[in-house]
This record gives sequence, structure tokens and C-alpha cells, in this order.
Amino acid sequence: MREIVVDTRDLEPPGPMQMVLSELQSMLPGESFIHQIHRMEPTMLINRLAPMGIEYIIKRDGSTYHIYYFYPEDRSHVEERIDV
Amino acid sequence: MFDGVSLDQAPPFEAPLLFFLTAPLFAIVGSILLEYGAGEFAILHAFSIGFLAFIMVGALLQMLPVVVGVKFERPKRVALLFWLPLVGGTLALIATLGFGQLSLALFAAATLLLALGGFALVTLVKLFKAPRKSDAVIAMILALLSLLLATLLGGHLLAALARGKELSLLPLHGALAGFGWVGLLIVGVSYQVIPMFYITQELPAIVRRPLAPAIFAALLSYALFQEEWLFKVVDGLFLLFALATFWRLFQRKRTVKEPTVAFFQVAMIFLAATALYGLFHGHDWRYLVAFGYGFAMSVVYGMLYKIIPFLVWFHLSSRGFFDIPTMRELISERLAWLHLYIHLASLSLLLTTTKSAAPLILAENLLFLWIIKAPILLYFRYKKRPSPFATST
Ligand code: HEM
Repeated sequence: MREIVVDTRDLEPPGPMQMVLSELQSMLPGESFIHQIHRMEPTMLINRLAPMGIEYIIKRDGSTYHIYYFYPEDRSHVEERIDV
Repeated sequence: MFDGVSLDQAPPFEAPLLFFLTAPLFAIVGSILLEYGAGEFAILHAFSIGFLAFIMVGALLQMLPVVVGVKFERPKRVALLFWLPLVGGTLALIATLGFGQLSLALFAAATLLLALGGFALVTLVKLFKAPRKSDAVIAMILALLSLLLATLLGGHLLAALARGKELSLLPLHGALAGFGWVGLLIVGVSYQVIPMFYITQELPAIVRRPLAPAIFAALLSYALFQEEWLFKVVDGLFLLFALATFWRLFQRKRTVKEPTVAFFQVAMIFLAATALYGLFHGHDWRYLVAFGYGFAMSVVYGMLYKIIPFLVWFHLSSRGFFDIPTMRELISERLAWLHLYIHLASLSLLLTTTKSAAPLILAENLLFLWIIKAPILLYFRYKKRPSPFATST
């Protein structure tokens, strides 16, 4: 699976949400997932994506957050890739 | 292939907006009361409920669905249901405390209990059900518990006034309303908003995690035991919050000077000064003014200059409009700086000659309304257009 990395740590709103929403256009089930690197939990974005059936996993590394967005059917692949 | 964003996901912007626009009007009422020398408690509540509580209820109505995932059914109707008694109650409270209209005391108590007590209860029930309770959510829960207690105590004070009895528990009401409700809510909202808008790191977990529960515990102990030193613990904890937050804003990666950051920095300086004044001097009216006008109102102005354009973007983009001006273009930076200078001038006059601040408070709130006019008009202009999603999918 292809990992689409989006580093939004230094972007002001609405930049982070804009970038992830725009990458979402090219995220395909079974083919790709998004890996966002951010300075906090992007709660507004997560709550915006949840009703669309996009799932996510958050991993925290010190003050950096790694958020993975994917289609529900790709969960096991993504979990394997990111080692949770 | 991903095909579109849900259209009705965001709660309508009209709900918080109703509250955001009412607040400066009450600040203007407050400035007129100040000019004409109405009772100090009427002026105090024109700002504490009329301005601050309106903003905070509006902000919570907006934040809870998108930040916490807590939904209100029929958000516009819910907003109106709280807004009407809150307006009526605030006016009645001002009439009771400022003009001795004791016949209105019970009406004020009932409507404010309905509006603020009801809002606190409903929101608490929803927050307790939130799947994940971040530190921000915990601070909000404690703030709402404080609001509930403070409103009940306020009702008790009004009942005593109406019956001509001596007021008991006055300092408790003030402490829970000011430091529990206003203070803790700002702590919770800052956890969420400062890293998001100002590209700072979060506060270190060792400060962030225990801070709000510690403040609440100290306030409750003060309420129970009425020992003055417990109140100084509250001061000490707010001092910690102010210094840590100021430091984060100081360290931020982007060094462009922006008025909204300056409002937050002013707020934290005043919070630190208030806390030191409380620790070493005492809790008099200057302490209240510095906390309420210097800290809380500065945070509110700074926050709204970010949140209003952001929400406009958020709502319009979730309906598929992406050709709108950027957030920076929506708020005139020059006028926002001017607002900050007027705010600092009102504050210095409030702390010294007090009454002479009235015209400046009036001016700053008219200017505030003028500045937020652009994003709001943009929202309503786009709202009338059909969503591009509706035609493309
Ligand atoms: C929500 C924000 C509120 C804040 C920040 C606030 C703050 C205060 C403060 C600081 C005092 C003075 C305490 C003292 O002198 O020790 C006070 C007094 C009072 N408050 Fe509030 N309050 C709020 C809401 C309410 C509500 C909802 C009610 C009524 C239901 C109310 C009714 C009163 C009354 C009756 C007094 C006493 C006035 C007097 O002594 O004549 N307050 N408030």
C-alpha cells in the first residue's frame, strides 16, 4: 500500500485540514492511506471525516502526532505497516 | 474514490453567531451603565454574563460538535432556546442590581437558571458521554460544573435580595463564576485553540494534565472551608498557566507579529499580574477588573479574530466552496491592532479612574463589530449560492 505523507506541523489553519482533504481525493481503497504528521490531535478534521466512513489511528511521539487515515477495509494493512 | 464531503456535517454557524453578536451589544450596555454610574454589580454582570457568558456559550455550541463530537439535535432551535432566557435574564439582573427593581429578582433568577443552569446540565450530560476525554474536555466539564454551582448560588443571592435578607455565600458565587467557570473554560479552550491557531507546542503534559483538576479542587476546598490561603493556591495555579502559556506563545516558530497573538499575550500578562496581585495584595475590585477585562476579555477578542474567519472557511468549505478569501484577508489586521490599543487604553482607565473608560469601551466594541462584519457578510453571501457538490455529484 502506498503511504501518502502530509506534514502539517508548521501550517496555520485552515492549511492542515485543506491539505488532508485534498490528499483524500487521491486515496483509494486497497491502494493508499494518508499519514499526517501534526503538532496536536486534529480533532476537527477527525470529526469531519468520521461520518464519511474514513477511519484513523493516532500515534504519539513526544510532542509530534502521527495520524493515519484509511478506508475501513484497509485497517489490517495499515496496522501492519505502522506496527501497532 | 472519495467523492465529496458530507453537507450537513458542520453545525450551522448561525447558532454561535447569535451569541457572538449579542456579546458586544451587552458590553456597550455595560459601558453606558458605567458612564451613568449605575450600580457596580449591574455593570459587573453586563460584562460577566452579557459579554463573557454569551461568548462562551456560543463557543461551546460551536466547539462541542466539531471538537468533541458531541451533537445537539436541531442546533438552531437549541441556540434560540438558551439565547432568549439568557437575554431576558441578563436584562432583568441588570435592572435588579442596577436600578433596585427587586420585583424582577425572581424573574432574573428563574430565566438565568433556565438558560445557564440548563445549558450547563445539558452540555455536561453530553460531555460525560464523550468517547475520549482530552485534558481540554476535562477542563470544560469542570468549568460547566462551576457554572452550574455559581448559577445556583446566584439564584440564592437573588432570592435573598428579593426578601430583603442579608446576602450569604457572596464570595463563593464570585469565586466559582469567575475562576471556575470563566477561568477553567479559558484554560480548556486555550489547550485546544492555541496550538491550533498559533502553531505552538501543547503545554507540557505535566502542567496540562493536572492543572484544571487542581484549580477546581482548590476552588471547591475554598468553598467548603473558606480559608483565604486556599484562594491563594488558585492564584498560584493560574500564575503557572499564564507563564507556561506565555512562554509557548513566545517560543512559537512563526514570528510574524499578529494582533490576535498580541491579545493572547496581553491576556497572559494580565493573568500573571492578577495572580501576583492576589497572592501579595488581596482580592479587591482591581483584581476583578484585571482578571475580567485584562485577562478574560483579551482572550475573547484574540480568539474571535481567529475563530470567526476560521468558522466561515470551515462552513463554506464543507459545502464545497473553496474559492473564498483566506482567513487573513477576512480580518483587517490594521483595525485589529487599533482595537488592541483602544483595549489597552480602556483597561488602564478602568484600573485608575474607572468611569472615564466608558467611551473607550463603547468604541472598542463598535470597532469589534465593524471588524467581524466582513467574514460574516461573506458567509451569508455564499450561503445563498447553491453548493458546488449538489451539482457535481
Ligand atoms: C456567569 C458569570 C457570572 C460571574 C462571572 C459573576 C460574578 C459575580 C461576582 C464577582 C460577584 C461579586 C462577588 C463579591 O462581591 O464577592 C457577583 C455578585 C452577584 N451575582 Fe454574579 N456572576 C455571574 C453570574 C450570575 C448569575 C447567573 C446570577 C443570578 C442567577 C448572579 C447573581 C449575582 C448576585 C445577586 C450578586 C450579588 C449582588 C449584590 O451584592 O448586590 N450572578 N457575581
